[in-house]
Amino acid sequence: MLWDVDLDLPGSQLTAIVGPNGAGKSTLVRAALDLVPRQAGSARFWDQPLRDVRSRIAFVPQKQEVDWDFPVTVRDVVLMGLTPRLGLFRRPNGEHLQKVDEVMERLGLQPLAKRPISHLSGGQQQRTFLARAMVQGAELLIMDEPFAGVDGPTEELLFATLQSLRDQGHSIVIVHHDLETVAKNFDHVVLLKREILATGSPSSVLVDSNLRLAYG
Amino acid sequence: MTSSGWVVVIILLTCVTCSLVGCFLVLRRSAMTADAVSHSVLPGIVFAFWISGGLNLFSAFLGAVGAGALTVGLTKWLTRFKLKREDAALGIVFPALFSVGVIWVSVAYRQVHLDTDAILLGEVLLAPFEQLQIGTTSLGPVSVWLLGPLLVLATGYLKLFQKELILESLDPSFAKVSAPAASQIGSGLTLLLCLAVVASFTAVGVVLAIALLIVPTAVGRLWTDSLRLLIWLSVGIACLAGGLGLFLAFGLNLSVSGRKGKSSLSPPMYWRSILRATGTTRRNAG
Repeated sequence: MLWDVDLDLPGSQLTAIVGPNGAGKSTLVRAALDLVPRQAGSARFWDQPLRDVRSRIAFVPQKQEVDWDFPVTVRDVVLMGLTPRLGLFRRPNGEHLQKVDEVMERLGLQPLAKRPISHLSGGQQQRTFLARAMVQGAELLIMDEPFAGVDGPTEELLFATLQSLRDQGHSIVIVHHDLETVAKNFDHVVLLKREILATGSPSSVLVDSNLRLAYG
Repeated sequence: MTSSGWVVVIILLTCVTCSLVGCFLVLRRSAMTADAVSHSVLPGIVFAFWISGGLNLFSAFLGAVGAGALTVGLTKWLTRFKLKREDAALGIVFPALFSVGVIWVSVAYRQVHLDTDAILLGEVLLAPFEQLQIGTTSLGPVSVWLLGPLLVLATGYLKLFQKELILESLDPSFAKVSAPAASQIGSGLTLLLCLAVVASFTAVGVVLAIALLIVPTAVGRLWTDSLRLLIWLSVGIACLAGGLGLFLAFGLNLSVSGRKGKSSLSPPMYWRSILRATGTTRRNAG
């Protein structure tokens, strides 16, 4: 449950949505993407409703929402990133497949290409899903807790990849739980606890008075 | 073709169709939908009986498909409220529809003979005798004319939309945000399920239809992590079970009384139970 959310996020920045458990972080992004019903209000992307800009947005949900027992390989999942662009009947061409290979190479997924997703570690799972999102080629990337259950080296790889995407002009919004990594890695922070407590640069948001309000 | 030849054709058509549709159904974790649909078709069949004024396979088929679609629609509608989980919503919808069917039959059609054996296990040995006729020409059993096109439809649908079906089962939120068409395609699968349950109703009965939908994939999944292999395995296991069951049934017919031919069709069920039991043991051991 969230109240009175009035939020405007900047483009081409790495934004973190932080707050205590149950603050409504996931709900906020899911409501914006029409995945949970809104009692009131609207969400607009580049001043347009979601249905007009779907192809420009990539969403990576929380790990628990994915069926990791499904019998597909890592490469199958990354290839799924092409589906929104290809539509129902077109098949991927050489250019598409080259993009898939590039992204997999960059995230170190090539050795895992044929591995069933049921045999992946937490870090490998997140790399696979980031790869799928990158293959989508979307301008806005929204990820829900991508660092949950991820090892140190993977976390560094993910941050480096996200930062280079940002430098190429992509906007990235991440639901995050680890305050310690926020200041170092993000450009913009939204502090949330059922309503927006503060929003702005990490140094202006993560001050004692705000944190006491949120985590009390 | 002889009537036993037609029986083999009908059984194999049923096995392939059910295991194909069931494969995607089980992977989507919607196995319970098969159970629900097989129950809730009853009011549809009674409705068709009431409208057409007699028992006729094609009108029963249409009625049953309507009831199946109603079940799925109501379930979808309920999941929009507090009952977020599909199986919980199904648990409300199908007993209600089934009881409507039972009450309707027992109040209005007390005189109609309903054979429990026929419903649970089907009457495949009689199926060849209900022929599709145009004028005086007989075109073969009605069951074959239902199951054949359905198999073509199901294969085409699953092949064409495989990508979307996988995507929607694997990660429904991604499907909703980035590929809304994939969610609709998932609903199409449920419609195929309704068709498959109703078409195999006459051939193998409700219980075996559910078994054929679910068990081959559940067993196959224990052997492979590859979707392509799993599809072939499911179809193979279903045909093996169906064929072996028939073989045993025909074999027993020689020694046992011919009049009991119908009930001897239950060996497919035993065979599947054995498969399932060994499968479960494997999982426990692993």
